[in-house]
Amino acid sequence: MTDFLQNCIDGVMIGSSYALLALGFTIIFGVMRRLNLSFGPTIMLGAFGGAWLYLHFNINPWLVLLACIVFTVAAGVYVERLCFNAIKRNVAITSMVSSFVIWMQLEEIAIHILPDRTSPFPPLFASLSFEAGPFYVRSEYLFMFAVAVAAVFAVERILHRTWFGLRLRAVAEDPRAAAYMGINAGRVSVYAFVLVSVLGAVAGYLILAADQQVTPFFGLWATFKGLIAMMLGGMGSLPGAIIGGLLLGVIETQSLWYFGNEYKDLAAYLVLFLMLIARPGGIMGQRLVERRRLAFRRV
Amino acid sequence: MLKLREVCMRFGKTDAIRLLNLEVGDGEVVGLIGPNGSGKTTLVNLISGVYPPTSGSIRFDGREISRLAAHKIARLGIARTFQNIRVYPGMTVRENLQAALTGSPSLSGRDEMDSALRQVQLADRAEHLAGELPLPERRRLELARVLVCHPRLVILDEPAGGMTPAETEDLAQLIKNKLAPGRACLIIEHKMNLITATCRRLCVLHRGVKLADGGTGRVLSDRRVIDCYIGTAAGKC
Amino acid sequence: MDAYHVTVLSNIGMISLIALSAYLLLVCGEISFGQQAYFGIGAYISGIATAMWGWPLWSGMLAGGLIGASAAAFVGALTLRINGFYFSIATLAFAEMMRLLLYVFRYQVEIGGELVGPDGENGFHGIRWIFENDISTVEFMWIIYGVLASVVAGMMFMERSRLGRIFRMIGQDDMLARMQGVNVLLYKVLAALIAGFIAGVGGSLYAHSFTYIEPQFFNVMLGVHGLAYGLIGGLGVAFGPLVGVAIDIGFLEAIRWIQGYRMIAFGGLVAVMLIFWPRGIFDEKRWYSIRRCLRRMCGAETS
Repeated sequence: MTDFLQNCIDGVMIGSSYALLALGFTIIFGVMRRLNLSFGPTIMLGAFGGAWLYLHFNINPWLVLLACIVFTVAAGVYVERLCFNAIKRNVAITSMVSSFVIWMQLEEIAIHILPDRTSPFPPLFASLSFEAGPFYVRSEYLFMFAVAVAAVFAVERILHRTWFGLRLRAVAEDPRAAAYMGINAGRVSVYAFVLVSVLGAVAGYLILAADQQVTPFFGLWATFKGLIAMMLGGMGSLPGAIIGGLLLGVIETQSLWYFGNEYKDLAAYLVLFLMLIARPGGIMGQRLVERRRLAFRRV
Repeated sequence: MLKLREVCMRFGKTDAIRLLNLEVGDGEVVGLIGPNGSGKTTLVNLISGVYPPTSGSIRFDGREISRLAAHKIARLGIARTFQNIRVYPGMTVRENLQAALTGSPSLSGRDEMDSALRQVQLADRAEHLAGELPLPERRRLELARVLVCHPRLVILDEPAGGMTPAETEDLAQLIKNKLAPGRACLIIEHKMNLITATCRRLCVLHRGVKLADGGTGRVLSDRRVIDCYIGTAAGKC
Repeated sequence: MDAYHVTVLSNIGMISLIALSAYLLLVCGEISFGQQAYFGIGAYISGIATAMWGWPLWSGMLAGGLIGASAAAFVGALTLRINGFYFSIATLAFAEMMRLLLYVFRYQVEIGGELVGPDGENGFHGIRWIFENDISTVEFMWIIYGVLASVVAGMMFMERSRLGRIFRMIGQDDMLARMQGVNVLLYKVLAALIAGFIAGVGGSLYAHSFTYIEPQFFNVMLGVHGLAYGLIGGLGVAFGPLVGVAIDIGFLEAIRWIQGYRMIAFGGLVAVMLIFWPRGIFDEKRWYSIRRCLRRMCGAETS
């Protein structure tokens, strides 16, 4: 029983990082109704930029974080311009393929920045682990969890309490109507990408700092984890991203403990696959599916 | 031929159609009017099987079709057009007609396709891509598609949408002379001159409820119909 | 022809098959990120059949194709009800699941004092059919192209048939197709089945050409390449995917100074292409104009 609970705690800890990544996916999906598969690789590229500066100039970890944000935002805006803004709205699926293709590009650029497969990555604080009764908790993950929850509240606030959020939601509901109201949909979508990239860069930094190293595989890892977490929680739902992330973390740690390392990812994909068959909207996304069904009415 | 009994359709918390009874007899041409949002297109979608009704029965030739898959309903001989025109944009006009025939029991040959195209004045467009046709021609292509399929029931969803008065007049002639003879038609339209030219019977929907049903002239002079649909603007000036 | 060119050409031929399978689903309006799963299934099944059970290549290939097809139909029947994004993600999840299963899949028998068969992460060694039957790499390349030619011919024939028309109807407007009496789900599953068969056959060839396979070969990148080839080649005609493959492997591989930056160049090229031609080079429109030009030229000659 203690094992099971410890697994759950570990899962929630790891899951916090997945939740942070899922947030980025879910915001972009909520606004653009499109999937940005390059999200992970842009974070990875940002982290490589930070790691490169750290390796060559040995800068302060806070500056590394700043560098990560700057590079990720640059990469994110590049992806937005090329794969989202330039492609017409009626071929939404093309954006998905386009972002997948750009993924390969970003990965190769990253390999050229740092040809070594693994590079060191500096943490902000020294790692602490403390005990609460029979359980172990690591401080980095606790911090990540706090950041994830804070990010949900911040994003919720931005979406519902600011002019920018209002524009964002207007574009999400009906881009053409928004354009007639004088909203520049292209600019709004760039800002959305900037917001998401900042969030993603922070998430990426925290995750990599906990591992203290970065590899080119991080892009694939981040995209998959974020995507699965979002799909489990429900596409386009902010609380769903947190729930999905934590759920994914728990599923992984439990299957790691009971079945072994080979089955860790397998279990995650299996749960995702079954979820897509049984309840495509995810745990929290049913409302969205319902709305799509209603939109279907206007045949 | 087509019989709807106490059909209800609910989307979430809104009733799109409430306890609707409607009958279309063999060879009868029935008009269906109503304000926007009164549930006309929902009704078409229910009959053609886009979604099943929440409750009630829809019978076609005595056969229950309300729970049937859309493609099976189509194969029974029900053809429809769409309010926002749908054609296969990447196929030529002729291929569009062939496509309409693939799932239909009709065995129209090349000659029949040509004659259908002539009737809607698209004969010289047969080899053009449907996606490149202007809007009125796409509408006519939808009609040609119905003609080659030889359906037993035709449902036209705002066939004159966006047409000029002259084009509407042509369309009315086409419906009267080519489309309607020998089959049942249900025509949804806002243009009164098309309705009066083609339909003997008229049915009015208002907020998902049938308000009136009967001879076109009588229905149009009904007080309630004037209030909710036709309006009194004409009377005022 | 030196060994290098034979390898490149063989690769083009085999990758074309996965591109064709992705293309078939694209024509039906579905994006699959998971065709590599059936490619991998085909490779493993046919490898087991020839190396461990002593089957000839042809029956191994057929078995690989059929198992790939049935897996694809199974996944399709489960997931094609949910359209768009959900299908793409479901195929991706299935393909990754398949790949991870191959990491734990162990089934070996002793042949000639040696253990042969899939050994989890160590891969599957000793698919030696082409050595045992004295087939040179050049000859095997011709086998690949023979298979590819028959698949392309079959698909071109299909495009002109009723089945092909139904696939295009579904791809261009599945709602309209349904209203015209087409059982959309059935035909989508059928398309997935055919696509799975083509990918499975491609995988069989791959296993026998390389004689060694491991789960990592069948990762997402393989499927994405197939998809990208299908999409840049164009959705108008079945040889479109071959054009896509030729552009990447044939053309970019040939430019030496691009080596090491190939993904950057190819990725950028595809992304820019998708902006201007979202349905590829030979999309329905362009293929239609080409057809009309050809007809006019032929007409001029005969008259």
